[in-house]
Parts: sequence; C-alpha cells; structure tokens
Amino acid sequence: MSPERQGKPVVAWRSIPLAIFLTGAITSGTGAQSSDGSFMSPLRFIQRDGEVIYRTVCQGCHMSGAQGAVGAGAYPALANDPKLAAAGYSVLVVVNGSKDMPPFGTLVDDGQVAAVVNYVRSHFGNSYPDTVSPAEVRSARP
Amino acid sequence: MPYGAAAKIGLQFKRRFWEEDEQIYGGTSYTDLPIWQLGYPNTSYGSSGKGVLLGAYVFDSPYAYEFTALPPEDRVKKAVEYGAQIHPQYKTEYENGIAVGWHRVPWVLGCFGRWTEEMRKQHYENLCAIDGRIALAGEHVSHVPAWQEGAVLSSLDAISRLHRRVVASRACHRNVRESP
Repeated sequence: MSPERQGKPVVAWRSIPLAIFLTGAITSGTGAQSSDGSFMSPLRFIQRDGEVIYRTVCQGCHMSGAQGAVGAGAYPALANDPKLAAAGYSVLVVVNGSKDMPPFGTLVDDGQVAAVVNYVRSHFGNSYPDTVSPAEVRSARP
Repeated sequence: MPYGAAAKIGLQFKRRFWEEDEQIYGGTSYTDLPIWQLGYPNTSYGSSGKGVLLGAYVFDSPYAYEFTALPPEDRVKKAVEYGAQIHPQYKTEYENGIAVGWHRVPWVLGCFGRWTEEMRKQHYENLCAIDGRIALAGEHVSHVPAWQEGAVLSSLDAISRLHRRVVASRACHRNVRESP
C-alpha cells in the first residue's frame, strides 16, 4: 500500500514490526482469539463463511438485520434490496467500494467476496436463486 | 470519499496498577494483538484511586472493522481479554469500559478520509476550491488525513484563501465606486 493511501496508518505500520519484536515474548497467549476466524490478522480477513463475514465485518455499518443506518452517512439497507438482483453489482461494490463505502478488494480474496455476496443475496428477505463464483469475482477486480 | 474504520476502547480500573506495579508512567504499549495499542494516562501520575487506560486503538485494518461490527459491550469484553495478556492485573482490577466505533458515530462518516493517489489527482483540487458560498476544511481536505495537524493546516489554508478572496472582491468594489 502506498504511503498516500495509508494516511494515519503510515505511522502505525512503521511501528508495528518494532512492536512485535518488543512484545513477542509476552503476547504468546492466544486465549482471546475468536473461533470464527475474526481478529486473526491485521492485514486480511481470514473468515470464509458468508454468514460469519457478514456478522463480523459488514454489520458494523449495515447493521445486524441488514436494515442499514442513517447518520452523517447513509448505510443502505441490504434487506429486501432490489439492487442485489444483479449479482455483479454487489460484487463490484464489495471489491471497489461505492460512495462512502470503503473498497474491500485488498482485504478479502475472490472466494470470500463470493461467499458474502451469496449469503446476503439469499438472506434478509432476499432470495435471488443465482450465485456468484470466485472466478466471476476475479473478473470484477480492477 | 470512503472513510476509514477505527475503534477506541477506554477501560476503567480500580487502581493505577501500571504505575504502582510496573512503573509505567504515560506513553503507549504497542502489541501484536488485535487491540494494537494500550495508552496510559499522561496526567495525575502517582494518584490513588481509579484510572482509565486506552485499552484498544485500531484503524484502517480488519481489526477496526471487526471491533466496529461487535456490540459495544462485546468490544469492551474483547479488549479486556486481549489486554489481560499484557497486564494480568486486568483480571482483578477491571471495573467497566466504553467503546467507540467511528463508523457508528451518527455525526461522522467514519474516522478519516481515505485518499488514494488516483483520487487525489482527480478530486483534491476540486474539493479544496471555494464553490460559491461553500468552503470545505478538515483533515479530509488536507495532505495529512486523519491527524489534527491536517485539520488545522486545512483550516488555515481555507481561511487564508477566503480572506484573499474577500479582500480582492472589496478592492474590486472600491475600484468600481471610484471610477468616474
């Protein structure tokens, strides 16, 4: 990632290798790690199941029932969402971001994008019968 | 413009064990845990009674999204679990905590404007330009996104440009009035 893109994290990433070195001896315990794959990596999402990805990532903004939220920003509801009819649109938004939604393409692989898109398109009142494949996600990447 | 995710968690303890037991007076512990950083209070050194730590500070990382996705009470619980690996005193001294996920604060879009070099080339000058009655300032209108420094520099820049514009328009008015 370029320094430009990082903004504040420029400082953080520089300090992390040192931090790991300094604290490695006393942070060997892993008791607090989650069994669902969340909180496993500072660089990539590790969880692979669509439901788990939604619950541990997407619902931070789109909320637990996919009902969305409105404040300074508007996080659209994904429940009963006619925009999800075109699977390719959902894939593009997750990979590249849209308006005030950050892009997630660098944080997840093709299979993870497909899993969460397929999950949302078949839950929360959505029941689109078709699914997307990891190969289709690959072709959507810039 | 997308805004970056960030989460901060404050934890209150019965006593300032980091000072009393560990001789830690202010500063930060950087960890390789999902809480990333522990921040110790830089004031009231040596005082008795309760104390509050910055128990987690994560941004622009999967951890920031994952903390945001948790209910606030679960964010605090996680921060206590992870932090106890650094300071076992957590287990007996913890009292309560509070967590903020920036994307969930109703009056902001997130923690900080997330520029890319391509976006800067395309939009930065437009974003900074005064447009009729609108002049924007803030960390998101700066080359130092996320930092107060960026917000302050941006405000000085916006005020300077606004000042020049007003002075120039007054000079223009005067010239018009004074012309025969």
